[in-house]
Order: sequence, then structure tokens, then C-alpha cells
Amino acid sequence: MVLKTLILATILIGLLGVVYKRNLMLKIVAMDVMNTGIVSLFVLKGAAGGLLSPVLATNAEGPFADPVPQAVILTAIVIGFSVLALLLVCAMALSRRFPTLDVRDIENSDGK
Amino acid sequence: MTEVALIILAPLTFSIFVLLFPRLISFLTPLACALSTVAALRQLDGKVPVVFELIGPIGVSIRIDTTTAWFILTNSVVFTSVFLYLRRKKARYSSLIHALVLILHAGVNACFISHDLFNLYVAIELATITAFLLIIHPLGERHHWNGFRYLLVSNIGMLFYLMGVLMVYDETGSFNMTALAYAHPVSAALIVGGLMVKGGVFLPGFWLPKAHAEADSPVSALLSGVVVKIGVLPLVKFASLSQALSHLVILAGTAGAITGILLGLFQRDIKRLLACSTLSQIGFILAAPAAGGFYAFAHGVAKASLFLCAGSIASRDVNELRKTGLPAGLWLMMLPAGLSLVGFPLLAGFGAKTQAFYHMADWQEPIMTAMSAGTVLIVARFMWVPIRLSEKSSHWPWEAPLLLTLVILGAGLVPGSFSFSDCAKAFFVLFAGTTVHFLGGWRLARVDLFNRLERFEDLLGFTAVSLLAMMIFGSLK
Repeated sequence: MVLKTLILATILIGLLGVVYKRNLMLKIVAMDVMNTGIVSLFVLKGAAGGLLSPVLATNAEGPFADPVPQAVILTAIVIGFSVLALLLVCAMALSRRFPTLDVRDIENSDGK
Repeated sequence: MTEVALIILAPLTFSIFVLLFPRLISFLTPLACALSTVAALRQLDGKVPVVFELIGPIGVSIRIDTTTAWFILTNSVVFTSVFLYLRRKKARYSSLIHALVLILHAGVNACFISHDLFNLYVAIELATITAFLLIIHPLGERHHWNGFRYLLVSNIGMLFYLMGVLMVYDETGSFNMTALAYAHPVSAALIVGGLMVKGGVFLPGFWLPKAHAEADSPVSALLSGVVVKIGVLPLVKFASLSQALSHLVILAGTAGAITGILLGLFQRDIKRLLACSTLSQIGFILAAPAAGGFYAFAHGVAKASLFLCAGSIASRDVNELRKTGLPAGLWLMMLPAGLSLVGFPLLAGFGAKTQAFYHMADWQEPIMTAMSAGTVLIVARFMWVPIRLSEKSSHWPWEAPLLLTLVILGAGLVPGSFSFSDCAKAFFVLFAGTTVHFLGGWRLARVDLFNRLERFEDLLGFTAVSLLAMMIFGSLK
């Protein structure tokens, strides 16, 4: 329960970072914090109930971990990573054109 | 199973071939679209939903029913016309763009047919990333900024969605969409909220006007015609699952229709007008989810046609357009699409609107009729302009809008059940809207009221606030 609360706090902090930070870089990093929080939520869900890895065994009894959440979250990790990479490349291109990473400056020089 | 191969695997394979052998473009893209069309038409003819489950109940699940088929048909028709446009302007668009378009086609199809929540997430992200690459492909600073906004906002929406998916799994032990009916309201609110960001519905959809207006014209046509619908179709499907979900979707749709019109009334840029109208039309689809399939088709085709035509207009400012006017050929090509959008009888949009109104609740009808009149106001702003007859305009890419116009006319002939009073109502709405336009509605374009709300920080702010608000609303229930 403590872990879950901490993870939810991580997600919320990430969201606040995305909203409050004016620097593009920090916005991206905050989004990644949020992403990491959600990944850990899936991992926690998968591992919470059990200790043993869920492989076929002859005489194993006991609390098994749930293999499904971590199996699916693998895809989400890869997607999150590629989105992060694309956003960083985009921020790099923007910082070359505008010599700043401040959101308001970019928006103002962008015109309308 | 064959459907999956036809509409997803084929375009993905073709996209690799297009990159390797650019000469194959003019053969492979139309073939991919034709395959989607065949799959959609077969489903529309067959009526029995295709259901398919890969490795058991927690595996990938796929479902194609009539509503899905209409969405797939929209996808294939719009992509065919955009392909024609890209071919016509060969010099500007490399084979890379064609490959991306094919991948997007496959990604959107995957979103439409997936019937489990996690698979849907993967498909939506595939489509989003491809759409992002298409938005930034001209590599101008405007496009970079626009793409950045698009990707960041929609990614935040999808993170909320993922949280909801986990909660559904936690409670029901399944990723299937039908499990959503038995899940906790908070998880439903998170998932619906995430999809509202993707689909451009109500407040979370405020990123949409700028993203669609600033993109390159063929890309705008793809975004507005098809790509927003990857968030809309799941919502339409949810509406049939339970009473509570249905109420939520209908409420969001009605609110979205109103927001779109309000925003659109204060726009002077033609592409922004079209984008705001998309915002409200998405609302129409969700306000009557039972009739959503055909409505999405009618809207997608008309909007794509208008965006492709808008790419050939000299000035995007509506006030300037009132003075200079439009070349006759261009105006004539925009006319059927514009009329279909406002629901003129015997065009595709009329059948769609009639069906939608049959499925609406009593309290919705007056609101949505007023919003139809609002659509007339928006369309009138760029259709009631002087026409320049003398101008020769043979060099603009007319093939793509022509194809879409033929589809609009053809789909209007598909007889739905409508009565004389529906026709009368359509004419009345058209008349009322035009009257208000001439009484001074067009002057509103000079007022700059809501554009401030679209600044990036404000946008992120109330996307986050509205998502959190939905969460809290869900937990109160």
C-alpha cells in the first residue's frame, strides 16, 4: 500500500512537472517521470501477490507472481522510450531555430 | 483472420517495398486502400461481426462489426484521395512520405479492429507516432513546434489511459473491452478521459484546432478525416457496453459539439474553421453513438475534401476571401463537401444527420439542431464568397476532391429511412444559419476571443485539470 501511494505520488509529481515547468527539456523529463511511475505501477501489480516466478514446475506450490502485467508493460516501455526519443529530437531541432527552450519565448516568436 | 492480413499486414509490408522500390508507389498504395475497401464492404454486406481471439481470454482480441466497417471504409477512401493528391505534387513528397502514409493506414486500421484495451493502446501509439512524423515532415520550425505539442499532449492522455487499463485488469483480470462495463467508475473515467484527449472531444481536445490547421494540407486531411477517429471509435464501442458509460459518452459528445461551434465562430483562418468544425462533428458522432459509424464516414469524406481544397486557396484569411473570392472550379469542388457537412438533402451528410437525430434523447435534440445551424454559420463563412469565373485553375490537384465528391454523392444515394419533415428541417437549419450569417455572424470572425486558450501552457494545464476532474467525478459515483 505504501509502495502504491509512493508510485501514485510519482505520477502526480510528473504531471505537475509537465504543467508547471517552462523549460521544454524539463517538461519532457517530467513526462518520463510520469511514464516511469506508470510502468512501476504495472510491475507492482504483477509482483504484488507472489514470490515465485510463474513457470511450469512439477511440485511447486505457493504464491505465484502474475506474469501478464509485466508482459504487456514491456511494449509500453518501448513505446514510451521511442516517444521520449522523438520529443528530444524535436526539442533539439527547436533549440537550434530558437536560441531558447522556454515555452513562452518559442510560442511568442512562433507568431500566432 | 484474412481481414487482419488484408488491412494491417498488407499495408505494413507494402510500406517497406515502397521505401525499397519507389517506382511501386503508384501501384501499392491504391492496392492497400482497395484491400481495406474490400474488407469493409464485405463486412457491411455480411452483417455478422467477425470476432477473433488470439491465445485465449487475456490475449489479443479483434472484432469487426458494421460500425467498424464504416470507419475502415472512411480510412480507405480518405487515404486513396490523399494518395492522389501526393502523386499530383510529386516533387514535394518523397517515397518516405508515401511509406509513412501506408504505415499510418495500417495503424489506424489496427486501432479500429482491436477489441482489447492494451492492444488498442499499442495501435493508437503506432498511429500517433506516424502521424507525428507526417506533421513534422516539412521540417519547418512551425511544424516542429506543432508536432511537439501534438505528441506531448496525446502522450499524457495515453498515460492516463494506461493507468485506467491497469485498474480494469486489477479488478476483472481481463484486458477485453467488455470488461470495462464491470470495472470501477474511476478506471472507466481514466480510459474515457485518455481517449477524449486522442479523439479531440470537449475540453481535452483543445489541442486539435492548431494541430490540424498548421499541418500540411494533405496531412490535415488525414488527421481530421481519419486519425482523430482512432479515439472516437473506442468511445462509440464503450457506449454500447453499459448505461453509465453510454451516458458519459453522450454527455461528452454533446458538450464537444457545443465547444467546437463556439470556438469556430471566432475564427478567421479557413483551416482553423475546418478544424473547429471537426471538433464539433466529433461531438455529433458521440452524441448519437448508435448512428456513429455512418456519421463518421460522412464527416471524414467531406472534411478531407475541404482540407484538400483549402490547400489550393491563395489566402487562408476568411475576411480577405470575402473580397477576393474563389476560382469557380475550386468553389464548385468545395460545394458538395460543404453542403454534406451541413446536412443538405440527398448528400451523405443528410442521411448521417437524420439517423443521428433518430437516436438522440429528447433533451439533446434542440441543442444539436442549434449546433447544426452553427455548422452552417461556419461553412457559410468560406462558401458565401464571390466566384471568379474567368480564372484558369487547371493546375491545382482536383483529382482528389473529385473522388471524394463522387463518394459523397454516391453515399447520399444509399437510401436511409427519412421523411419529408427531415428534409424540411434540413432546409430550415440551412436557412436559419445563413440568415444569421448575413445578419452579422460573419463579423464574429474579427473577434479574437478563445485563441489565448490554445497556448501550450494553458492547454497542458486544462488537459491535466479535466483529466483529474474526470477521475474525481468517477470516484464520487
